[in-house]
Amino acid sequence: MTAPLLIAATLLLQRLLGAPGGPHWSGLVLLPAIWVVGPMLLGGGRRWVWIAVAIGLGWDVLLEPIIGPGAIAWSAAAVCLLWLASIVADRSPKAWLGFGAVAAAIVILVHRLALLPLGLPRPVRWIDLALSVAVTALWCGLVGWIRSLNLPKRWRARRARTLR
Amino acid sequence: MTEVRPFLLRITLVWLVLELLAATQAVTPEGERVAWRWARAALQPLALATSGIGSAVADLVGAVRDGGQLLVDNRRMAVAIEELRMRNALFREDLAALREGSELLESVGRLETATVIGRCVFRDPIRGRMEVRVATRVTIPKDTPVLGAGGLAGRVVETRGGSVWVQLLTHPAAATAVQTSNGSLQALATGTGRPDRVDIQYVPRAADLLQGEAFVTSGADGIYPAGIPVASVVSIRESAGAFLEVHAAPAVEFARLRAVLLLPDIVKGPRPGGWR
Repeated sequence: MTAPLLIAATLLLQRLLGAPGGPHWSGLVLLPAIWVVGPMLLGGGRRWVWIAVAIGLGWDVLLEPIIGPGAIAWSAAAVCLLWLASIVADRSPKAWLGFGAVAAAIVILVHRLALLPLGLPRPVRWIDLALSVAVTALWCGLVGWIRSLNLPKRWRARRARTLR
Repeated sequence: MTEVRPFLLRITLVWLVLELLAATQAVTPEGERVAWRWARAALQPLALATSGIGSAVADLVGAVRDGGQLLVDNRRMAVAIEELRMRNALFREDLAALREGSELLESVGRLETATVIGRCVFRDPIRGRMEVRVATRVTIPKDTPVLGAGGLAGRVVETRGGSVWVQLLTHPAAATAVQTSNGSLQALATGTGRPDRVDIQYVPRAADLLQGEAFVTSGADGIYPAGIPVASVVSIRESAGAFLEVHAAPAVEFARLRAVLLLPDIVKGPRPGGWR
C-alpha cells in the first residue's frame, strides 16, 4: 500500500514542480522515473512494466491533455530498463544515474513518437531534452547514492552505540 | 525466450490500445476525431476494393452477355451466309439452265410450232422420270414430246399446274418407235431402268447394223415427230430368237439435264423432211 501512495505523491509533486513561477529546470525533471529505475535495478521484474503503465496513465491524467501516450512512454522505458538491467551487472549509484538518463530519454522520445500519428507533433528541443535527461539522471543518481549509504543500518548502529 | 515473446506481444497490444484510446480523444484541425479518420482510412481501401470487385463482376457479366450475343449473331450470320451461298448456287444453276435452254432453242430454230422451255427441278434417271417446271399459261397436254440437249428426252405423262412430269426414254415402260438415220431399219427403243441404256428391239438378224449407228424417231408410234435423235448403238449381240440383242446409249445425258423443250403443238407422226 505504501508504493501506490508514494507513486501518487511523486506525481503530485511533479505537478507542483511544473507550476508557473518555478525555475525552468524544475519542470524538466521526471520524478516518477525513480519508480521505473529503482525496481528494475533491484530486480522488481516484469510486474513493474504494468505498474509503469499505471504511472503513465496517472502522468497523462495530471499533466497531459490526452490519455494514452504517457502510458506508452513510461511502459516503453520500463521495458527497455528491464532488458538493460538483465545485461548490466552494476548496481552502484552510477548505474542509477545512467538508468535514470536512459529512462528520461526514452520517456520523452517515445512520448513524442506516440503523439505523431495523432497529428499532434510536439517538437523536441534538444537542449530541453539534454537538460531533462541530466536532471532526471541526477535525481535517480541521488536516490541511488542515498540508498547506497544504507542509512537505516547506520541509524540502528548509532542508536546501539548511544544506548551503550 | 519463450516467455519473452508473449510478454512483448501483450505489451505491444497494450500500446496499441492506448494509442487508440488517445486517438479517440485527439481532434484534427478540421474538428474531426482522429480515431474516426483512422477508421475511415482503414475502411476506404476495403470499400474501394468492394466497389472495384463489384464493377469488375458487372463488367464480366456484361462481357459474358455480349459474348453470348456475339455468338448468337455469329451463328445467325453463318446461317444467313449459308443460305446466300445456296441461293447463289441455285441462281448459277438457273443461269446455266437458261443458257442451255437458249442454245437448245437455237438448235431447233427451224421448228414451225411454238415451243415451251422448261426447267428441270427434279431428275430421277434411275426410275426414268423427271419433273419440269414451265413458265407458260398454256396447259401442256399429255404425250407432249420433250427434248433435251442432244435429242429426245421423253414424253409428258402428267400435268400439275406449272409443272409437268416427264417419262424418260429409260423408263422401263417407255417405248419409242425408232429407225436408223437413213430409214433402212425400223425398230423399237425400250427403257431398261438404267439411265445410260435403252434396248433396240425387233432388229432382224440380217440387219446391216454397226456399233455407233444412230437411231432417230420414226414417228410410227404417233407420239413423237420423226427425225429426233434417240440413241446410238453401243453393243450388238446375237440371241437365240429371231432378232439381234442391241443395246444403245441415249442421246441425252439425263443426269445433267437442266433445261428441256416441250413441243405441245408439233405435228406428230412421220415427216417427209426429217427433223432437221
